Amino acid sequence: MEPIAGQRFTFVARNNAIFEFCRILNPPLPPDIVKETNKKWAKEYGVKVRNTQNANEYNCHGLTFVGRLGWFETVREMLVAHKFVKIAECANFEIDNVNPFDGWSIKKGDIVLYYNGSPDIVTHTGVIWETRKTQNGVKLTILSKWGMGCEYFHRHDKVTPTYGKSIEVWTDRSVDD
Amino acid sequence: MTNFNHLFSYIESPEFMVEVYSMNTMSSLANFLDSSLPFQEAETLYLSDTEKSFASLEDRIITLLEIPQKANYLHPYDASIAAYIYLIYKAAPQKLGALLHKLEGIKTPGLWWTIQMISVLKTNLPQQHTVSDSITLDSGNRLEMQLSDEVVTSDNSATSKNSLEYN
Repeated sequence: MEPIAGQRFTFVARNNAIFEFCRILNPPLPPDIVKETNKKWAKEYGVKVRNTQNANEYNCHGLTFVGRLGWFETVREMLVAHKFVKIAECANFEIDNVNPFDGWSIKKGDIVLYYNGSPDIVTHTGVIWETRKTQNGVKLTILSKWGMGCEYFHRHDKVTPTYGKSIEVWTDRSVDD
Repeated sequence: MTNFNHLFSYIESPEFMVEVYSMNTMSSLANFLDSSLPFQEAETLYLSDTEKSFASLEDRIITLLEIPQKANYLHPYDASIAAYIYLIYKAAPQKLGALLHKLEGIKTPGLWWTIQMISVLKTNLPQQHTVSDSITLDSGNRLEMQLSDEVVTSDNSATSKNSLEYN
């Protein structure tokens, strides 16, 4: 099958800003590399594979924001334009707990965003799959796509170091209901 | 580091490539390369013998591009080639234009980050080293549309947010 390039989508955000992105089929990783990478990440970060199919069609932001339709990059702009609300942040999940801001609770379907050093460079995003309240804050299970890799379920604090240790939690809910 | 062998073994290692596989955006790839590549050592090598050093890296890129690969899959050294191009951009930017000219028209399938890297760096070349718009790396998977998200603001001005920014 010939790869398809240039299928373009348009998304109109809640503030009427228009986002355009492409479904571009980058060449997929060979199956043996996929298998080895999955094994490596399962061993190092405890990830559980959700889906190995169509991994070359979208990135993590494509999963999080545009339903796996393509490769998406303008995360901060989308969060503002579509009126997402930040409800939690943690500068270093190795030493701090994740706790929502007053008046909010973190729920399944909310979004987690990672950055490494500079908040301007969003390294990774994912969707919150499960939340678990503990004495030390909220523990999150995330569904996310790791670059050219597969979709994985993983703990919020178990990711490749290149994603960084700083996270923010955003929601599309306008009030905590 | 007295020669490039140490650099080659790192950039072409499975560990390095797996890290690049996890990258989600061009800017986070650049961020990763900024923190992991030995730019200072590479720059020292360049200063000691610019022509020979550049030739070593350039030869390495060409050699990797000529490695056969499984059809329809990612080139096994796509991450490494992209990293070498970025290294030249940072350590010896005056050489980047010449390199991109040399790569013009090379038909190597299965490239992804290499193409994105070239596409972005072309817009960041030093003023005196312009590169023709026709320079592309024909991957057999030619990108018909620019890989960037365009955000049209309420005043209908479009800005592309996919450019690398350097101080």
